[in-house]
Amino acid sequence: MTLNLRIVAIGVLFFTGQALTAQKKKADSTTTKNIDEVVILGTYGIKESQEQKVGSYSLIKSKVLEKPNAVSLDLAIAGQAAGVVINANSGQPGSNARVTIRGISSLTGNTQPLYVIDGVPVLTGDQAGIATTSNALAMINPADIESIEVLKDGVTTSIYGSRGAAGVIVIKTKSGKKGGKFNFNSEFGAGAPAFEKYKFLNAAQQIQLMTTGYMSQNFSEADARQKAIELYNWDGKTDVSWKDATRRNSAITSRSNINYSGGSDNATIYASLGYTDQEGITRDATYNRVNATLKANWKMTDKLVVSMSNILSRSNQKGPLDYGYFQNPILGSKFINNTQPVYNADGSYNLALVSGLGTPPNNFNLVALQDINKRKSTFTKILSSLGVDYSFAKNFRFSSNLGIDYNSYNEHEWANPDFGDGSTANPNGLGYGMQSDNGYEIWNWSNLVHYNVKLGNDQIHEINVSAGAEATSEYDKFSFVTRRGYNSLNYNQTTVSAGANIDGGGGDYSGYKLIGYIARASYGFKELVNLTGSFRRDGYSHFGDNFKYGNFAAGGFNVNLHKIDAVSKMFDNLQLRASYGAVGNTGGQDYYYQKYSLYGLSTYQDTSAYTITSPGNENLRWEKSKKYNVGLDIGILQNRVKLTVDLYRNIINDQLTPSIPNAGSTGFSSLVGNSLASTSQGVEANLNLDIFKNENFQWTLSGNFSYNDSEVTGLTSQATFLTQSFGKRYTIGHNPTEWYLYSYAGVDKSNGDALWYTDASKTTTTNDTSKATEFFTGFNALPKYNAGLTNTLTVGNFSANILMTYAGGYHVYDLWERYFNNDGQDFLGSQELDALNGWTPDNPNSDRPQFRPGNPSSRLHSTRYLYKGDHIRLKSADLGYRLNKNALGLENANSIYLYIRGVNLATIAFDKNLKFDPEANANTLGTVGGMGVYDQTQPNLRQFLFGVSIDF
Amino acid sequence: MKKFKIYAIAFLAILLTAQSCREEYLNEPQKTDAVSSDVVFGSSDGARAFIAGIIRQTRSQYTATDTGNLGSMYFARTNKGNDVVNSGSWFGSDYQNDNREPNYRRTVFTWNFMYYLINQTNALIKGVSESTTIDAADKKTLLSEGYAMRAFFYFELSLEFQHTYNYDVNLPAPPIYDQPSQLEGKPMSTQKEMYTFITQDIEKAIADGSEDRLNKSYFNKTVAYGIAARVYQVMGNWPKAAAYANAAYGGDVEAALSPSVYGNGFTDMDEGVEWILGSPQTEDQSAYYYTAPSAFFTQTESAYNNTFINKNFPNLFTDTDVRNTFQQTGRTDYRAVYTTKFVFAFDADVVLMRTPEMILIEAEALYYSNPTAAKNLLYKLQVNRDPSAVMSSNTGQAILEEIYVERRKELYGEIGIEWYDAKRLRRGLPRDQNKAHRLPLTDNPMMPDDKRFFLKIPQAEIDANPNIPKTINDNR
Repeated sequence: MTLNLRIVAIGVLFFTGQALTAQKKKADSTTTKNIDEVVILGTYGIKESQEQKVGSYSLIKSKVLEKPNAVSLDLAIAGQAAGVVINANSGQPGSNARVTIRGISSLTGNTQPLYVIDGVPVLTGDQAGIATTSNALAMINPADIESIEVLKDGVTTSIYGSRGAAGVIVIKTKSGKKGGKFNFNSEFGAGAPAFEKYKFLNAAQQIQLMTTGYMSQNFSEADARQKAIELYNWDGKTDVSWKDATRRNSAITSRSNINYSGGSDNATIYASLGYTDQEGITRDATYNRVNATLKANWKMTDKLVVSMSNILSRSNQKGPLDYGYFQNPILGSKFINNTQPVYNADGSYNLALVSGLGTPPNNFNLVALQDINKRKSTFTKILSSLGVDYSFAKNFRFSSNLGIDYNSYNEHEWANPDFGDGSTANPNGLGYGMQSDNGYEIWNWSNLVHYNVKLGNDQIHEINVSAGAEATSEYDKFSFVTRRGYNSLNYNQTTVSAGANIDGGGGDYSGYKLIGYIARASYGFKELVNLTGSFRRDGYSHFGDNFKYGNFAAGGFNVNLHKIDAVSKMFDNLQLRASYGAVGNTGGQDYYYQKYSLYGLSTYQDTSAYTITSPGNENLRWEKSKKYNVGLDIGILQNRVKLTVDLYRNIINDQLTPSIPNAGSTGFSSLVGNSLASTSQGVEANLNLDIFKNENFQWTLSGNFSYNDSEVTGLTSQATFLTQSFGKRYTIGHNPTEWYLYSYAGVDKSNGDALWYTDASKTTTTNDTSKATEFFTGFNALPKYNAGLTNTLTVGNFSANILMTYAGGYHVYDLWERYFNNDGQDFLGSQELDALNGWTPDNPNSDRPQFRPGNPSSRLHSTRYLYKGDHIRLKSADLGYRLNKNALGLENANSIYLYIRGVNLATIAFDKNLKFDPEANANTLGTVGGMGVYDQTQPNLRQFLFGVSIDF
Repeated sequence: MKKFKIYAIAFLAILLTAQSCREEYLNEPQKTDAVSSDVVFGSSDGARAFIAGIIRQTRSQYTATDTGNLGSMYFARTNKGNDVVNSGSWFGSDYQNDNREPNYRRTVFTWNFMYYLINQTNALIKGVSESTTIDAADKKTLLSEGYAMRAFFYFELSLEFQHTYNYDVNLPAPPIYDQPSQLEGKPMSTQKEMYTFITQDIEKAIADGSEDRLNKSYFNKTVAYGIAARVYQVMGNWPKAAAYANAAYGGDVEAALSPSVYGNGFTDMDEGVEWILGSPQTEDQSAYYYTAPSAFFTQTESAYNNTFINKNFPNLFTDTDVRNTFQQTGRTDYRAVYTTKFVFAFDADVVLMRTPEMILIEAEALYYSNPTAAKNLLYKLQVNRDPSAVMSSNTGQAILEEIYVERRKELYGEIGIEWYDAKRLRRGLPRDQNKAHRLPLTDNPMMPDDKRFFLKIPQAEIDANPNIPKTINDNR
């Protein structure tokens, strides 16, 4: 019975081309066991049933994505798959995300997984030029996605050859289903920061702090107070929270989607239109997106199926810069204390601020800057693919997929000439306008022939062979122009043309070409034992002639013990798996053209000028990741209890490195090449419990847990360490994300000095920052433990879904707190409330050094600003009620589903001193070295939404 | 089955198509803002553009404000002496005479920057030599410019990383590379090998050099003479030093000097006739605030403004001397006096070599064969600078001393003249103690043959160069 069902399923699969097909018997599922899920694994038309599974992957269904927790799909799947850690770069809507699959996949190369949507490898990553962070994947409407497969081990990723080392995320959009059905979904809500615990001084406390500070310099209390008031020019009553002044009370989100799914036996379409509008928490942060999707599958004959998928998307993003920019309101608001009014008495902006953000006239009144300066990005995406599936002979099938991903990014920035960044003196005049135009396109064509046959008595031998080729071409270009010389107080003329003088400009294009040959074969014996092997040979345009081609082989096997009668009595599923695969990494754009010895072109006086920029590296080649995986799948009690456990170890050698230290006397003090090595290993577990499965009461509990540890195993031949920004140093035997920092030792109770340790054994301290030393802290920036737990409950017409996530075993660093939580070095801005508790002769037992205005040595980057990141988060929860047609008495609607839901509802941090969102530390610098750093980005939001979904 | 064959063939055809064009396909992406060596050395113009590129790099912003370009190298030397006073900030450690440790920015910059330029020059020499399309006459001129630049860079390097040549010619000197892009580090050479290499290069440059050049930043034959004069001066080869110095300024003292522009701020290499070598700058092509010495000496334009003049130094100048550009700041401490010799602007050129230096090299060299001629030559310069100058009554060694003082008076702030002379003459560099200095180095004055006259070998070089012993910095 199983067999027949699967054959039927496979038949259907053939005819639906590249669509995802998870075939389940529709009714009476409790009486049938072993209804296998058959998926087309990956994008090459290769199918695999649960029983043929030899590798490791996670499957995420559309349900999670219809009501996404974020605007971009990568962030929306956080917590859903074991071994996949997802962090937003920022709470800015549309922000990029860092996705790591099974730990650190490369120390200095690309760590971003390969994303393939309907067969097309798409643009990913941060595309922001002027904007702070813009996620290319945010252009895809999560509601249009049918499924996401996360391919993790060697045998599932090796077939992607040189691009799969960081894992592969295969996304398939929704297909139409026979019949005709509309769905309309709309939701509306509001949000506020999910976790933010900074406490700052109010105006009176600011004066009090400075008074105490001046008293430490032997001023009398009265004189000190007078001096403090004069310092801030305080009027005695102003008390402005610049944090509140630069933020919205609540950030509004609205999202509407309408889709149609329908068709006949031979042709189906899925069409959708979506609109998303989300505000960030600062007054200038917004994101909106319009999506349209059309997907069609046409069964032209019994043997020929054609499918087409089109996604059109356009978004507008506005938002402030993050990082150390004065104009970043999250950071900047901490540099203006409460004594400073936003407006003058006459209602004009106060441009005589006393703050840590420069001095007048180059003044950063953040509210005024939010009102006047511009920073806007408009993105357009067209993703289109065409698939053909042709069963041209018995047991033979040909599949072809041609796709194009086109992206256009236009950005505009304008800074007024009167204050803020635009007011810096420049020979080309004041004010600053910039316009940039970036384009990125990729086309991909894959052609494969598949041979599937069952031989022998009772068809006990199953053989599947696929072979083919794939070609990929990528092209990107940019151009920009900047002008200066804008008229004072003329804040409407913000176009680039309005600037009097051209200040700069440029443009270039680049790209890569990839060609791959693919072969894969599997053999199954009586469904008891399955063997799979694959081979891919890739040619890549940016590697040296000696290494232009790379070979990637993989193999795996499984034993389905539940096919043995004695075992099947107890186990519905008992599968042991083992796999190995070699996968490559091209390193991405940083390594373009590095094989060549090139002369860069510039000018000198009035002539053209060449300079050697690189010696070239003919031996530039693929990073190789060798991935080992063993796994166990258990299903008992009619598969109501399912457990999957995987153990893995990835050995990553020949890692691409932009700066291998080299003897400077050769003329090149660093070289580009392959030199670093690391390993990543861990355990993953998934548990799925169907606790109740009655008609009126269903309760499913599914959880995932993962443990990962990574280690640096090889550096360049001479180096003993490689310093990474920020606060890390790659050293053999250490986790690459281990914090390497000065170690704060608290306060000298005898005199109020701040102390730091001078050695790793922490035996001696010093108050002299030049004598403090950095050493390994034993704390990592990448979480060791991650878990997600989903509760799904259906009681009659009510349904509820609760997702909780956990991350543990890691520390996060506040990159800028040293400016607003120190001992007097910075006193023009605000300070944290705790500054009032500093050491004084009257308070000698304080655990905080004395606040001394002008204290020169209190701003050292140190463990003082390092926090445990461990936390549990109520990531999302929703509760809904389904009104059926009869109850409503509606004729046109089949059902109406009303719901409320929340995102990031509660966060329990294990470190009571943690002040910022431990998930908002994603990838400050875009590198492994930047992990765990909180960069004063926009906080993630806690949202409450109300929604309705109507089927008609 | 027939159908299968058709499709199999069709599929094979697709694969073959991909196969046949894959090389071309994979080689298609090419960088658009860079070219290969074939293009550079395919024509004289290409090679000329490469020379322009190398010279542009000498004026760059290499690592930091005090380690940006040739100007910052010379200005670090200026700070080591007695005649100028650094009030803190940039070049402060050079002023302190302790900016020489293996990990310090000065050390790493001086080494890497010189070798960066040497490698470019090696590529130029190799590329031009091997070019099949540049004609023989052009090759000669191009190569002689290459040799002059290489000699210059190696000479400056040799001054920074060892005692002076005459201290001990067998001491280790920096490695010598005569080919480009040799990516494994070479072993240290010796002072003797280094100066043999430098003199070979500079003699070749002189032999084939041409006087033609686009502007005064190019290394034509005159510059080659000037470099040779400096090199032989350091080596103590006085006949050659005299001859090349004479050739560098042309032999006619009056014609080689422009006293009337001395006080104009040294901003324009084409003003007057004195500049032999300089780094030109424009508003849009400049080292900006990395421009030494002017951004540091100036007290009138907004820049770093952190370099003053030892209050005793102006006493060497008469009121009628055109070089008396000293002003009072109004302060009474070590910042009492400043000079207006260098005017700062983004488009202010930077001087690297002038004719008076050559006249004084010739005078110094002549002294060893004809002290009277030396004195007469010296006087020609003195009276040019100060019409009321009277020839001194010095004889013997005192003439030499007078020349050394004249060198300081003429060239202070430009090429680190005090440091250069103290080092090669194996003298100390003690500082005035009467509150003339922020750091008078009372307890640790620069002694003759002081190790602080040279830098240690950068640790990064030792770490990455298997051919340099780990112990190279022992006793340095």
